[in-house]
Amino acid sequence: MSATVQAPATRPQIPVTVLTGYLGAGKTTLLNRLLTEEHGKRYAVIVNEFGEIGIDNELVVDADEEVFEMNNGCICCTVRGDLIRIIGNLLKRKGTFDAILIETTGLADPAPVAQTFFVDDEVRSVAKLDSIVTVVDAKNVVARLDDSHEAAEQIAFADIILLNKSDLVPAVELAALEARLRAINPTAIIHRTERCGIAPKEILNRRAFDLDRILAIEPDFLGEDAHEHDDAVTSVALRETRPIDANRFNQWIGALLREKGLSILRSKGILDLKGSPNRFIFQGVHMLMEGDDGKPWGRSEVRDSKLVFIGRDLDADELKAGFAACVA
Amino acid sequence: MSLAEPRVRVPPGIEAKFDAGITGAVFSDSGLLAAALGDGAVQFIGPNGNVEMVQAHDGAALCLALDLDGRSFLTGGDDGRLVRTAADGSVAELMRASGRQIDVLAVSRPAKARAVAVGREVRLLDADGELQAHASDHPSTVSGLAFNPKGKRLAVAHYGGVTLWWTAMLGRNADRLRWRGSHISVSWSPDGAHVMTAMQECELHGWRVADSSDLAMRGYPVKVRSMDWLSKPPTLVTSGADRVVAWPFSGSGPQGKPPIEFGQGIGRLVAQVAAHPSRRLIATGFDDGRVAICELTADRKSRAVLVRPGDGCRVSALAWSQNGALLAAGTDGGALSIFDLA
Repeated sequence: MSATVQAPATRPQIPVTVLTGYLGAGKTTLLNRLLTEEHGKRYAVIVNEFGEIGIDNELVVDADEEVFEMNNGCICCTVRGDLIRIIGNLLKRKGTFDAILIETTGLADPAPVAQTFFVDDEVRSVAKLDSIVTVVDAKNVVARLDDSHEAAEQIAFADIILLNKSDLVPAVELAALEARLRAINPTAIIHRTERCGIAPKEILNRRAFDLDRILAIEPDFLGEDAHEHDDAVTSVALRETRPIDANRFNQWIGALLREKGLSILRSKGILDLKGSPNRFIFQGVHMLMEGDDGKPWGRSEVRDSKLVFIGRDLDADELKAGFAACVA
Repeated sequence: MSLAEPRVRVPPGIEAKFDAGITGAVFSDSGLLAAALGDGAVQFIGPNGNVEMVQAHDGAALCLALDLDGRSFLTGGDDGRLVRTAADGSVAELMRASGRQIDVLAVSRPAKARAVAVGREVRLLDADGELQAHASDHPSTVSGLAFNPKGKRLAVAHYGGVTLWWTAMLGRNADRLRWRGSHISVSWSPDGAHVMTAMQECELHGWRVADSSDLAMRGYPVKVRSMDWLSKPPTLVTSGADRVVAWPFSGSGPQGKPPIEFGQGIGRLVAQVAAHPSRRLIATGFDDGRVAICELTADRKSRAVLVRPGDGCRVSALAWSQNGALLAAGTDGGALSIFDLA
């Protein structure tokens, strides 16, 4: 390009928060709270049940949760085409948004929403998945986990879990419940709430915090606890203190997600790659994965690598051996 | 890729700058330009450069078409409204669907019909703005609408392909053209023989209407967001690459033949294309603001002249006046140029 040409104006990516949870868990309550409590912010809200939002917000858009399968050779790559269209239209508006909030229906599988932000180049260039927030009804979640697939998937996908209606459940039961949620998803932040009472800053624009969260995982916590319940969705956390070889890791994770991506719902990690001064941060949804350089390692910091897989039929020994073979 | 700045030859004309991005542009029969904007305004620019503004929508105006009378304009907005505006400042709301983005619209002057999509539903409005018919039998939100040249048929794009309706019997007998995936727009060839769609997967799909046989064109680096047709012989011109990619539909059709490519080395990615109403000229807008006029010659060669330099904003609208003497170009940064090429 010649020097006379201005570079295209690059807008920062708009953070996107996805709200999932069963009907009646409190999603709409949470949404209404977020919209009333954050004054002066401009949010676009994409909902499925238009009219339930109590706030008069000109930027509430009705979506039909239309999922389609990409013809990209990836068998589980389903995407929300309606989101691609709606977000493209929102961007035509004058001015930008502080955040986009997407509410999904009770039984929705969060994967297509998340995958939309991995797969579509146009959406990726303007918006970034910030976090998936799952609202669970503390009183009913056990029954839901026992009788449905979707409840466990919504827990598995969450970056943040609101254990709502916690006032209706005795403390002992709450602790047991949290342990069960942790077994499914060890990286999510769990907040106990009543009527979704929580500060918006705990929900919105959390990306940086989430990544620190991965680092904070205690790798041995899984222990026997994980198998106490017979939940179909479980997690495996791995840690390695020796530096990782980037090529070996790429080959291993690529093949792993290709072969097992149907049953691996989410993967996340922070890696100490040999030869890199920075943390390498990656996250995946089913077969799709993206990675990027994170913060540099501090001088006196102990470097290590941590990986978490959340999914069905995970073979912990195989994953451990595979990761160990990536050591530089 | 490094680009040498080709020499820009800016024709005489009008320059305007607005506060919001241009989302569409179209000329009236008499050469009045209407531009739809991201702040919900419709800006009218007359031949002398006089500008009149009409506030048509509360949010963004998402789509724009010349109305049946040839002098007023229809816009759909993300306020859920379909609005008719005219240069005299009159505004009439033809439809309202709260919470919906009205982003797909088609007008057929031969059929005296306007079609608009509301989610999965297509509504047909007559010349008086009355609801004539509607059809909801589509598998997903409608992403594209196109009348055939005579206006007798309406093509509706959605997941899984295209539904063809007879305009006079909308909602009754549908023909389905099926192809897996998300179809994001639809266009009818000027001879009415083919229906083409752009797809989420950066490719085109199409059907010969007579026998529903499939066509597919692949190899685009990005989604094809703009397509238009040269007629006689029908040639489909498309955005979606660093050059214009054109598919000749003469003879046995485009299958098995390489496309004609032109306009390379001018800008980064072609964002908009608009075919001249009578000559084999393609206005080509790039995602860096450059606009070139490319001439397609019979021997598959082409020449190009750059009429607008790059300014870093994407060309988001291109329109020729009906006599082909004026070309309008708008960007998502709110710049609007009208070039006088007569």
